Amino acid sequence: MKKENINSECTLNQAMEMGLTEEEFKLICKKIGKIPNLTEAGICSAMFSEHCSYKSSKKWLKILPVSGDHVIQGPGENAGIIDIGDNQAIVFKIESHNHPSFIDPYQGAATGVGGILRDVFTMGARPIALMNVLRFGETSNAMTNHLLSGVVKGIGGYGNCIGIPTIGGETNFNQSYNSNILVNAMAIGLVNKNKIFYSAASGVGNPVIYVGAKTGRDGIHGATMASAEFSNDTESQKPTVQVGDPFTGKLLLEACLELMKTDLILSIQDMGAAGLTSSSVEMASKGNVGIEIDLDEIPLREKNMSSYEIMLSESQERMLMILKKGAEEDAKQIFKKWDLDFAVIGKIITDKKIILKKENKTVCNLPLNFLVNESPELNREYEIKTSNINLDNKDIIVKKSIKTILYKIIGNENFASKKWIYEQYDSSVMGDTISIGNKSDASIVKIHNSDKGKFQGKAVAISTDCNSKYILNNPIEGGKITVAEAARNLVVSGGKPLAITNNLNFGNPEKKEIMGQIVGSIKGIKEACEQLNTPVVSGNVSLYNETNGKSILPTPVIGMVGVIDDIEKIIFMNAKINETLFIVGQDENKYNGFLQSSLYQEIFCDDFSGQVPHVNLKKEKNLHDFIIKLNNNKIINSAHDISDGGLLPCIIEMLLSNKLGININLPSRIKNPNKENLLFLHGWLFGEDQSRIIISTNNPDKLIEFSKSENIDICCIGKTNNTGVVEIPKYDSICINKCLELYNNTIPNLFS
Amino acid sequence: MIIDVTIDIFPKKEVLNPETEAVKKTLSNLGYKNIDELVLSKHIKVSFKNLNEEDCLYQSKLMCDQILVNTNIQDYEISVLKKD
Amino acid sequence: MRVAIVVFPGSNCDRDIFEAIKSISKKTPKFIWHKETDIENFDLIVIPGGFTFGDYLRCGALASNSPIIKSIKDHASRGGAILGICNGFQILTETKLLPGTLIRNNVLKFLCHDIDVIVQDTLPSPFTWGFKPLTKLNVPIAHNEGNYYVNDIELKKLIFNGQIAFKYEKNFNPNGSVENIAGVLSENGRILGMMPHPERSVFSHHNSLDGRLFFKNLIEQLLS
Repeated sequence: MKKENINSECTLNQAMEMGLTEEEFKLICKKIGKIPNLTEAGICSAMFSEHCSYKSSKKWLKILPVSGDHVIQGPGENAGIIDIGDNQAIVFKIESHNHPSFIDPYQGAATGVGGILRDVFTMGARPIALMNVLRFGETSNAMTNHLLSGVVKGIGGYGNCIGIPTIGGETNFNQSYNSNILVNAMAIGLVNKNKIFYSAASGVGNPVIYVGAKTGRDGIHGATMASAEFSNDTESQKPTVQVGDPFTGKLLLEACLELMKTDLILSIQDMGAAGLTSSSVEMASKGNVGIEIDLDEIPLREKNMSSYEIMLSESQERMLMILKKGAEEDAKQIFKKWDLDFAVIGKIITDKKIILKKENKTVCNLPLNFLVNESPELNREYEIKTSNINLDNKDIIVKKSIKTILYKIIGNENFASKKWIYEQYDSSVMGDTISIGNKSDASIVKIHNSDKGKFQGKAVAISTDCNSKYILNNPIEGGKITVAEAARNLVVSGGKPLAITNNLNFGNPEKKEIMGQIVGSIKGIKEACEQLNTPVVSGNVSLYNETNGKSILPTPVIGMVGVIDDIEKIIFMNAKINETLFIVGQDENKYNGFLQSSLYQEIFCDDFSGQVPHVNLKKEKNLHDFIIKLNNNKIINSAHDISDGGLLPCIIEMLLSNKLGININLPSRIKNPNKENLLFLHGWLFGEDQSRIIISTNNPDKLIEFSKSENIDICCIGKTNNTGVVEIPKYDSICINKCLELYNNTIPNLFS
Repeated sequence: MIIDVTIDIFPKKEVLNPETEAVKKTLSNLGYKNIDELVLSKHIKVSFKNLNEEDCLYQSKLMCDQILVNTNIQDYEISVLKKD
Repeated sequence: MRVAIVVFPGSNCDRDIFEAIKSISKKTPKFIWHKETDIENFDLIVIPGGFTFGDYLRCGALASNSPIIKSIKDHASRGGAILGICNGFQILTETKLLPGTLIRNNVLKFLCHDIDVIVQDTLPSPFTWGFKPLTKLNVPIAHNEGNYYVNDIELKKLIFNGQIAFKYEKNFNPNGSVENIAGVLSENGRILGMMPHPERSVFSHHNSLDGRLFFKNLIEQLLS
């Protein structure tokens, strides 16, 4: 067997196969004063990759608000952290695993969950909840069923086994995702404020420790491996799919948390994308120190792995730690108890370099500052395009009965219940789950043991959102709406929005209209985050989600976290009998209804081009404050955000679980059916204007009084009854049982 | 000397195996209409060192009864694959 | 009331059981690591749910060969009470402390939702005797292998002996279990294995409090 020539210089061709551009390669040669060998070039290529360097988006990510009174840690660490009082903090982050999930839906999704969990517990937090945002191609596409069931099984396979409840998220279908599905996983953890762990290495001479699973040839960048000059080594194999092992993940979680109870760890980081490379480089550079690793000490799963393979392997369930000198033996005992590998693989050095040794030879010697600080920041050309189409409601409205339209919306795969999916996830393990997004607009998990005496305790509320149609038609406004809606979902659940994590999924940033979607939506997110006081504390960017030049819909996903300071204040969305429904944020008579970019338009016109509804962030904030005030005064019995599908489908959602009915009180101007009024009625029932919430109350007088004093528009819809019929007087009547059937059976009928 | 033993574990006939049924149904949907029986089994290979063939078989059987097989729902077959 | 909770690598409902029992009995249960071999006397040993050893090979198979199992069997032979929930139930069948086997759900999916189970008229047992037969309990299930299987002869024996502790409602059998079985007792009534998770319906923020009632009755029966 031939030995890999570790010192052979990397050629430009090889560098380009690794993903470096000619420009980048020349820059590397100049900055390090030599032509890098293959391992060094591989490390540079990984650090310069879009994934590690955010080179296309960095310039724009910098404009996002990242600080606030309650922010303990913003972007740049394994995850973001916010203060929730009582010496406790919430650690959270969302991350994509799009491409691997398309290749192998089960393992791709499973390792996505595993990776995001490690990002959270590496900071000292016990994960308390998982969420996920999924996008698949059209339901009629033959691949969709296979991809969906694989992804769902993968998410469950990891989350259920490791014992963290999966409590919500969203799943949508659109043909633009046919060849590029999205799998974004979010994890939320709880930590004591004085027990947070960071990744910056420190203390020259301190030991560098490798823990967890062994390193194999998983997920090594494909192009490089194919290079014949790189390796004539017959044992070198093609890169393999990363395989998640939730069992080892669980042991690693428990072992790390056990070790974190001691004071032996100085810093710790997950080996995620680009494995040992990015973790060691980032830890050392953050700590302003250097790192030396002996590759012969790395626990390997396969024989004869090259230094390049070891450094770039993305084997799962591994962590890198810096311990206090002399703490090795005590730490090792803990990992031994949990049957995990534990190896001292190197030490911290003064020189700000990464030095790798193998078989007593130096196989890599690179300056750290260069790898991290001088990785490229591109100034890509962009054009923020907004739709130049402007449609009137009468161009969109179809000649169908209200009933027909409603049933079609409720039975649409993007509206119908995703119960078939979420019942495959363990949502109740850990015993703190309060709502999995079926009972309230946000998912809610209780802070463990936060109750004391009569006080029932605190909770964390989480919502995820992204309406791609809006972003496509108007990136800035769409970005604002995404944040506003995520916040609204928290507020109508009784929560106070605190901060967000975002996952920016787009196509090829080298195209200026795609870059325009990125820039525009970031600008919109920025503005909304500032107005709503929800800074961005963590996030992830996934670009090049396109196939044969066809991009996915722009999908900047927002995951928002808020706190509910007393679980008695939680608002659910199911109305009860004899409650009065009101729209808050909409007046009685002037409202027209905005049907462009709506679900109505998408279903019946097979198109969603046009303008997007405007969101007035000031009005939005006032609405949130008003809802919080109503809730504090116990005026709200249930509440629901009006979003996809508009008013009527959202009313139905509130009535479904108790199978109630209602006589809808129409605005006086459209009480009598005629052609013109019908036009208004469609807009009124299905328009998707922003900043509106439906609430139910037993105290209409008090509500009206408050709305007057706070100057908030409200509009009475009517009183719930037990008829199971939604009456739209003189126009139509709707059967709740029929709605329930469509709502619950659509997804199982498509995928079972 | 190394002796390779293989153990095949398959569900007992009388126990309903939904996985088998699902695979059969899918194959049938794909046009494979002549399948009479389909068995999904688990295949385990054990390489023994420093043991004679008889002991290899004996130990394999012990392993099966102790842990590898749940005899309530599974049957198994042991065979010697190869000797070097 | 001394309660032990056995923890295997991959157990993940250990804390949930701990909180439930602590809140109801006002006594702190003790965690026992699976490698321990010499355990003191307990009134109740609980084997919690989870994915012990990653569910590799078969659910519960590797755990049923852990060092602690001998002590659990000794406890059983002394007539000690044992409760296995979900993966704990699977471990108890793999150790043969309970009859039958839990195979994959007939729907070939992991399932997690609330469900009604009906308490049966059983032989004397601390797990069921606090309830009137046919009492309905609303508790969550969360499993992929909860499809209880025994052959006809053994099933007849279970029925004859009154060993069936819980059943799902006839039209709501989630996993294909024989005779809609959700939980079974040992021949002496001192060991219960059940798929549903009573520890997930114990606190006011849960969807039901029926699990609380289950533990309350159990503790009363064990103490009486």
